[in-house]
Amino acid sequence: MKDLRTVLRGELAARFNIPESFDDDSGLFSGGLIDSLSVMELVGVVEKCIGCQIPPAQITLENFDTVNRILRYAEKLTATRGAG
Amino acid sequence: MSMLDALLQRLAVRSARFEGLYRRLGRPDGREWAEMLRRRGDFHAMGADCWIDPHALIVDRAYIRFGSNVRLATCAIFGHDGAMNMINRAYGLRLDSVGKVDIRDNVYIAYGAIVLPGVTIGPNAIVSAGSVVRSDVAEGDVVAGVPAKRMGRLEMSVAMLKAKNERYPWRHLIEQRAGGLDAAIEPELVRMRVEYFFGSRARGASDSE
Repeated sequence: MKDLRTVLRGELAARFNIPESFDDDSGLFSGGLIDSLSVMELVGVVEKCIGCQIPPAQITLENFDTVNRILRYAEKLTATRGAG
Repeated sequence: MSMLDALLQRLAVRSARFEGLYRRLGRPDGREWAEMLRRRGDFHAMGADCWIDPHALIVDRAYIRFGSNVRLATCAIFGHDGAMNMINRAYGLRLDSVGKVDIRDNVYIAYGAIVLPGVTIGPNAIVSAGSVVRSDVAEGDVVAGVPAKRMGRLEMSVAMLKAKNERYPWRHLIEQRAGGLDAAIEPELVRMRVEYFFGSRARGASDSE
């Protein structure tokens, strides 16, 4: 997931003006770094990176609030898809 | 509710001709306006605890169904295609173009949004300000834009709001507040918010002073 981490951090900096120095455990949404209307933009970035669609019910703070949470979720999702 | 307001509401329930009078003189809030509309029975159905801004434009009421806890700001909801009369006249036709609007439980439609015929807005959804909704909104979605597209999920928005509220210095006052507006707390609440937004400074002072 190292590639996704790099891509994700780059996209966060470019699209949402988040400084590259931010911590991978910082709350993107709960910390007010990204607003609620940008959720799908971030989801779109993740979908593009992992090559599969994310079910709406799984778009939660639990899965998307930090870079590390996104990476863990993406890893789980791709593993599930691979197994299926 | 005063006796005059109650009388105006009763008149408005009896006849649509008195709706304007009730809106102007009775100055009902959204809850009272929704209650008047529910009692009139013009909609196909209307659930409990709805709140409708008296200036929301809702036409073709027979084709519109509201669930419970539906809240409408000054938006517009249509059950017909307004172009049909022009098309029929221009082409010598007699066509019809209508559709139901089905708004399920726990939905908020914000200021300036337009909901077109044939649309179902699923439960637990928000339609953001200025959106034009021309296709169904899925359960739990937050939509925005023209045409309206999914921009987020309500469950996630609620979690974000909770986190945001934890950061507000006036959080303790909100916890104490009775209802949406509490006259006893309001002045202190406004003072704290203004200080949070603009910093502590004499009211009315400008940067140039």
